[in-house]
Amino acid sequence: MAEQQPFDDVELATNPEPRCPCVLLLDVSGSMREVVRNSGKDLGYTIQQDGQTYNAVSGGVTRIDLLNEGLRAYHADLMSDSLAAQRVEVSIITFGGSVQTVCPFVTAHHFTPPTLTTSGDTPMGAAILKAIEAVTERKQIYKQNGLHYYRPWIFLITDGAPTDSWKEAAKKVREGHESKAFSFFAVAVEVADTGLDKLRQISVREPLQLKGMSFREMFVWLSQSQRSVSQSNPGQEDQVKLAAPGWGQI
Amino acid sequence: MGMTWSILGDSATGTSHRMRNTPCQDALRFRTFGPANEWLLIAVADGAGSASRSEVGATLVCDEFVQRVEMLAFDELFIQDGMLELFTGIRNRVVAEAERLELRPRELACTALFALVGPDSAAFAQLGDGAIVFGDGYSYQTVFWPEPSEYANATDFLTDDQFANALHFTTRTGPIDEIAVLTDGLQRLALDFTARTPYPAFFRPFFRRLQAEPDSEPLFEPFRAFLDSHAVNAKTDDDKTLVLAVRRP
Repeated sequence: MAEQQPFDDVELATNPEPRCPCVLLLDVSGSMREVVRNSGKDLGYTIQQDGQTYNAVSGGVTRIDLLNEGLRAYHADLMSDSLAAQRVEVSIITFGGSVQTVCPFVTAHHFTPPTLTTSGDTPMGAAILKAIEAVTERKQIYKQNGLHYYRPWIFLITDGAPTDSWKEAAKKVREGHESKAFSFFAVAVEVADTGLDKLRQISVREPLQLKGMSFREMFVWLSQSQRSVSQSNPGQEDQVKLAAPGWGQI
Repeated sequence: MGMTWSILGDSATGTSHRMRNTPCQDALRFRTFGPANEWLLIAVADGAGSASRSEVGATLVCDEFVQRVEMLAFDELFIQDGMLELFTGIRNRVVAEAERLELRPRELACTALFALVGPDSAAFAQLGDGAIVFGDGYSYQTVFWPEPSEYANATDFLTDDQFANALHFTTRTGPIDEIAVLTDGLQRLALDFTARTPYPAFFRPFFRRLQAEPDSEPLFEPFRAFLDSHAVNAKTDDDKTLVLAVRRP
């Protein structure tokens, strides 16, 4: 029989876990269907997609396939940490033809990674505004319910440039950065220089460029960063301190 | 007649710190003063998780509290200006240490909790999160309720430029026979954020046990085991420090 320990009768208070809301703002425009690995044979015709011309090929792994795989890796990594699974709240907003909330905020615990499909152009400006609205609303809900929370994350991943008006979104991102309302990150996946210039005007932080097609590494890094979010930070400082990503470059 | 303090205190490294191979960034010191050891000082500091050498800052702050209080007339610590002077002196020492290490002061950022309890009065000061709790055997209260700034992981630190604005200070008259000081790693386990009070079922067993044992020494190992227990680690991944003291005949 186990010996009774002196402090076995100490009870722990049950408070709800503080929440770390994160919007994954994902580009699902037509260009995300580009085959990037293991392409099959050239079919001898071209496809017009998202303002670009592509050679049609049989089979292969597309960017959207890798993105979907990355989402599953993100979920798995969060779930391996029981506190993170209760704290991190994920929402997925996609932009491709239109802006859609594929998944409203749920704790990682209740999150099921969707399998995203591609369509249309790149309404990034409208998508950013929707993400900002979503985190603002979420904070209100936390406040109403007396929940503590960490600064929200908006994590944008794109392989192109906005095809809609984006100046208002850029202004709101800047305002949110200055008032510390959220942390905004942009990840560029093989974006041409003109697109990168626009991303730089949108994101206060320098956009990160995904090396190779390491979606999986990027999502695991994201999860790991959110798992350490409970590290205390001086309130007056702005930087979210993150481990240097191995998957990207500035 | 003679009442003496029976004290238990320790820090345990948080599971997230272990995972990242960072040291425990909490520090604590306690000691008694006076002809009959009737005065108790508890100093606790929690180094910022985002700072590279905050364990150095936290340890230095606690050491400095003990050394400086030893040299001071306690009366000075019962007025706001005296307490502010103590904190300012310690802060300057931390900034000097940062310079010596060729670091920015914020790399040594830490909170600071201070309790000085005498036979009939007590002085408290707190900068940043964590809590000082006292009780009478039945009910417990925090000296300062740890009000979070908007975000749960943001708090004030002694190295902040505006630290003086963030310093909370108060005194009490009347005897205090039970006191606890804890860092924010335990905040959500020891305080009830809905009721905004300490969680009695957390503190009562500790204080009762300390009251019942003539010597706190045999309680130390079980106390350490508690701080690093699975039940505690399932609810917090941060470093956690707890100091408990009771006055007993």
